[in-house]
Amino acid sequence: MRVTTNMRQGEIIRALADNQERLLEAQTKISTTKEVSASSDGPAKFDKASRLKTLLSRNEQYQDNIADGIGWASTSSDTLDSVYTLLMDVQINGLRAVGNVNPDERPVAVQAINAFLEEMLDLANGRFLGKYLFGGTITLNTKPFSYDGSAVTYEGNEGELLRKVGPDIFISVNTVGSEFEDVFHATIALREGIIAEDNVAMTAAMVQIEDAMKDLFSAMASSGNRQKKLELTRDNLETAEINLRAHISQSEDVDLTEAILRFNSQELGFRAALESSARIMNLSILDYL
Amino acid sequence: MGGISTLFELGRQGMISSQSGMQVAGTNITNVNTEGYSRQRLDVVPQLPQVLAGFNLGGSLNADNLRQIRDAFTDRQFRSQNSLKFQYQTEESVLSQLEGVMPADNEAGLRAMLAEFWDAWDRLSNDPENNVARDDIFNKADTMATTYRRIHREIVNLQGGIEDDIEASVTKINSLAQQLAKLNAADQGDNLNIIDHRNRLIDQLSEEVNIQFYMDGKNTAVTIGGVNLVGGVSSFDFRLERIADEQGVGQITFFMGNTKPIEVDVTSGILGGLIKVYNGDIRDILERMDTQVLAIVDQVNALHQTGYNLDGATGRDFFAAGILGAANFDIDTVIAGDHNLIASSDTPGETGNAGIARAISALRDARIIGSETLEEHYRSMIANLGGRIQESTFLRNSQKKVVEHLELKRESVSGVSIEEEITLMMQLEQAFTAASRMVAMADELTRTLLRLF
Repeated sequence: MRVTTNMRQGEIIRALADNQERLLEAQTKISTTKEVSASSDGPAKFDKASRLKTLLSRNEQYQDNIADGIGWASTSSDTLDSVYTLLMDVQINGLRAVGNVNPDERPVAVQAINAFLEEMLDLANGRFLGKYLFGGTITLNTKPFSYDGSAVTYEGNEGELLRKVGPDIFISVNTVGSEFEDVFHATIALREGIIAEDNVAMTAAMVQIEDAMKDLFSAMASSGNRQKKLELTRDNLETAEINLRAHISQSEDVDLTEAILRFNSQELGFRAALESSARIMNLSILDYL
Repeated sequence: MGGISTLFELGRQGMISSQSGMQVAGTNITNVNTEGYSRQRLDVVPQLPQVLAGFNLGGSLNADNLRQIRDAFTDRQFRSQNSLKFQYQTEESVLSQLEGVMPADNEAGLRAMLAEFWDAWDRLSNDPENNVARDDIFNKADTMATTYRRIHREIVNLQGGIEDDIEASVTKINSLAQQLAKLNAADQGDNLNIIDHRNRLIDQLSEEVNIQFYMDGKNTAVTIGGVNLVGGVSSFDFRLERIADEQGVGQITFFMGNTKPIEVDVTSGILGGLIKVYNGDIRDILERMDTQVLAIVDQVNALHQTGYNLDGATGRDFFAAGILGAANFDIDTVIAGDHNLIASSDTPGETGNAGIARAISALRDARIIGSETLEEHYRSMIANLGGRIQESTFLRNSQKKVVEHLELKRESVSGVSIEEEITLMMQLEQAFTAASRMVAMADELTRTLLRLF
């Protein structure tokens, strides 16, 4: 091939520009520590990283949802536990009243039972972050249980409060009051039996209380289960989060050792090109005439 | 047999041809860095020998045949490949700007905005009694809508910038065409500079747009996509027409001539790259963004209409009415004024019911755009753009190599080598010296002869 003056210079300029471009690319990877920082660096890799990032952000939101749900469920469990303790006190008073024929002690028992009833009502109308725990989805304007002195009525509904813990997985976090409203009916029946000094009614009420305790127990158990389920899901999500972070790093972060080695070899190439150009550019026939 | 006087004549011609040769070499050296210059050579051919009394009398010289050394085939190849190189280069540069406008994956990106919008509905469904969660939804929705609007505006601005480049390119094409027509009309004689000039003009045209050219002696005809741009001494008016839709998104068509305009198909060169992005990629991105916005608006509004807020208000759109796409994406003004109107419940009076909030948050995973979810649609938009840039970078690189190769080939044939010219000059200098010696010798011969008298 015939080589002209401009070809030599043009080749040098081109080679230097190519080298510089590669050098810059290697340098960008090191300084950003990202293999892909825009979609054009590798659409597939970038898309994968971006998909993983969405999964990560959703994972974090699910964990937030669960934290809120666990708060709700554990407050419910604790409250039910207190109601259970109070109901045991009612039962003890009842037993004493049924077994004890001393009529003087009965008003005392009635008084005690009334106090327990009020306390249980307060608990059952308890709130978490300003919202009624046991009213179903009626959480603000109406107390779950109303009491007019002679009867307790459940004013709530059967609505579930759901927490999203997966794309289409919801866990219900609440216990509805109707599950354990017999606690109040039984307590009132016992009180009325004692007031009426009706032993048959008292005995029947004691059976009712026994049943109400079972209801309460099963409500506590399912609330505990919900809490457990939420905690297990949270543990799973936490493990998934660690994996996701590792995957994101794998798909977009640069392997620094490799990047630096690549940078060094590019730098060497650039130096070699500079040196050889410097020599060639000085060659001219005019120096030899 | 020629006389001594023939020797004078031969020497004179020898000196003249060497001198002319040196002049040509000098011109070549002077133009070593002139773009588009093709080296020249003086063809020195012997004149037909004189035959006198049965003897062949050797040639005097004819040194007027000056020619350019260039390879027409390489020229043609170079121009069509060069057009493609400039197309890919332009595409890559403009598409990278477009990618810059779409902050794909940082905190300010649309993907993050969309995620936060859905997350806010999740939070409302955790806490439907809480009006602060409603403020949160409003803020996230507002940020999302503003971001869509901002990106839309920036892309339309970018399109405006590209339009300026397109106009500049069209102006340049017209000016080059006029110059070519003028050259066709000029009395060219044997002026090699005119040929160089003409070739340079065609080279420049090939950078701008896909051209075909035909050289017939001194005339050059040029067409773009088969439509005449330069023919004989006249050039035609190459121009563009732009129409814009109601969101201000433009579309450009090219025409040739004013009286009977013919639509011109522009496929490569700088103009080809610009128009492909202008009419293609940009409109595609904007259309996809509009699709996303309309899907969000329709779906969220439909659900929100059926929902109730804490006070039982219902039947309200969440997003504004009359949204055409990303350009006027906004929240309903009444909702914007009173965030408490944001609905969460699907049954009146149930404050803890988050049926609507849950349903809206579930739209995130619903296939609301054809068979795609919103996020899949967004991601494929970004991946598509990234793929286009990667493709144009790849094509630009490989095309650069092709053009470099052709440039080298062209330079190898037509370029000036200083070494070569200097050597040639030395050779001619020696020939000149020899010819002048010959004249001196003839002079001496004549003197000797004259002394006989």
